[in-house]
Amino acid sequence: MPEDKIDITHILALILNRIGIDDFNKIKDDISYRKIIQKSIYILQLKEFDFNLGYRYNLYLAGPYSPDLSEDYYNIVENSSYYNNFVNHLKFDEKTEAALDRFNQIFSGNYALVECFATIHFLKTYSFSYCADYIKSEEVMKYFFKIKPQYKDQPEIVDQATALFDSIQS
Amino acid sequence: MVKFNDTEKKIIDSPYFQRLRRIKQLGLAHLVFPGAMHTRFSHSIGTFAIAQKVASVLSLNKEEEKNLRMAALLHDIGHFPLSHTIEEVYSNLITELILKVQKKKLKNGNQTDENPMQIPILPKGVNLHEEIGSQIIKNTELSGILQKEGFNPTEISLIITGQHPDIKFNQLMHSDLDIDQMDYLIRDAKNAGITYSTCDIEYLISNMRADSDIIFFDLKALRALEHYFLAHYFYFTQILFHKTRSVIEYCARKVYRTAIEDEINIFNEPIPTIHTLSQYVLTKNYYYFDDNYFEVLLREISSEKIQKYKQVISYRKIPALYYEKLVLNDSSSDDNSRPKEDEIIIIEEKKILDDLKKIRMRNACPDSRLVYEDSKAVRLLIPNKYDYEPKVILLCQFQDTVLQRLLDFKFKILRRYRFRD
Repeated sequence: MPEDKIDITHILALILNRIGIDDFNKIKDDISYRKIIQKSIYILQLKEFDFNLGYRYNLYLAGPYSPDLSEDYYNIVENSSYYNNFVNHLKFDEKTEAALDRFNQIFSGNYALVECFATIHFLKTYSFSYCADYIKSEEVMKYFFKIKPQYKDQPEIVDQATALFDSIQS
Repeated sequence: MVKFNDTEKKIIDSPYFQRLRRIKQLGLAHLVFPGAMHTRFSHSIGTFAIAQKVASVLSLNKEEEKNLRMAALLHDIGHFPLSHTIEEVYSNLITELILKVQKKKLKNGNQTDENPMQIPILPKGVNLHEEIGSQIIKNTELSGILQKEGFNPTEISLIITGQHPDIKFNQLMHSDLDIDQMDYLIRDAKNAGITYSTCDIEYLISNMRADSDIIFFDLKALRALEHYFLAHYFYFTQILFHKTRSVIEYCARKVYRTAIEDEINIFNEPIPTIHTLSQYVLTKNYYYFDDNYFEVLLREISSEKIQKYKQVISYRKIPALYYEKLVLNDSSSDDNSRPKEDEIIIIEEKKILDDLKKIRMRNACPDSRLVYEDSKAVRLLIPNKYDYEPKVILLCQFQDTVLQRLLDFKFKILRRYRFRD
């Protein structure tokens, strides 16, 4: 494919394919797919993985959400057969593939961990950045359980996500 | 009449806010619609006035109201000369750099990253002015004024950027029908003289409701909501996509971009680039980064290659439109040919209901309280007579609307212009 025809949607499609979103048609059918895409791209844009695609996130009912990202993955859905084919013909270089492997290794297809980590990270870094440090963690977790009450019964996932905050470079 | 407290008056009197008097809301649209001379200043005051009304209708507490008013007043503090026209130049440059850096990661022969390009810490997209505004609020004298009066500047900037933990604010400032849109739709239509792109905003505001985190409208407002979305569509097609306005704005962006590439000086200072912009806005030079800045730039830039673009703006020597094609809903009609040397090709497109269409593509949620990621979508309160429990649903799921018939409608127009000899 000519290089000048590649745009950010192609890069996005390739990334999604590498992190396990291998059938783009599922994006429109399954809300959990879309949530995972939103949270995964948020994480991949951190310094640790160095995929700065320029998507800016707002905070809405289900956590951090990028309207621009939503626009782009819906473009992929509308042309799913083209993108499903495209991802088989292009690859990232070794360094980038290694970064994606690291992402897959850390999160091991555990979408609950992706969701928890991305949400907690966003709340700590942005939404509660105006709070003093000594109350920030408490406010963040109180808020997190308010918007994600299903994780009250999964403390091990939440602990894992919180521990990752210190080890993943922002 | 709009009333301000002492803090709000101090903010309005600051040079950063007064700068907005010198930035026209619709950029160079006054060259087509002579009445479109209104500024970001009047729009910011208007948005503030709407925020006051909304705070009263939703019965926000004193703290919430105080923060919402201040965020509404300051939401456009980071705007660029000619508003979105110049913002788009910087956004495009950032997007191109992002793409260039990401393409380098593709497996392609012997590419190395000996000189990795640094992407400035600014996002792509039309919200660049919000990020700039956020920096101004947190890092300039405005921060001091706000803190002294009991505000938290970071909190105000989070409301403006849609990242505040109180999601009500994010919906009020960043949704398919937010208070910013409520003001500019009416203001821009009135000043441009396009009466059919107005709607009954007062009625919509009076029917807004809030239930903890969710903002929605009473079912009574359904037709007013339909009218709003149609008015918004006409606003785009009749004002923003006007054939002459489009080409004038294109030429302005071309001139400005050339100025950045040629690294020209304005007021003896280098023009800000995407790498220096975030520092530039914190200096006193930023007070003069307004429409006059662009006027001076037009005089200073002498590059031969853009003289014809300059004349479009300075002398209204508009290129002739020699081809126009409306390509409704047909993406296969995209014209991929490159423009010739004396040609300009512009494609404009607008879906009536971008987000509503996306929602329709999904399965309906059986829950009575919908918590899709599209919290920015408009919601309606449907009284349920049988269960006595009212339901809140998304507007696009309500079948009895004209909008349902228009969910697939996409206005797309291709125009070719040629410079006159």
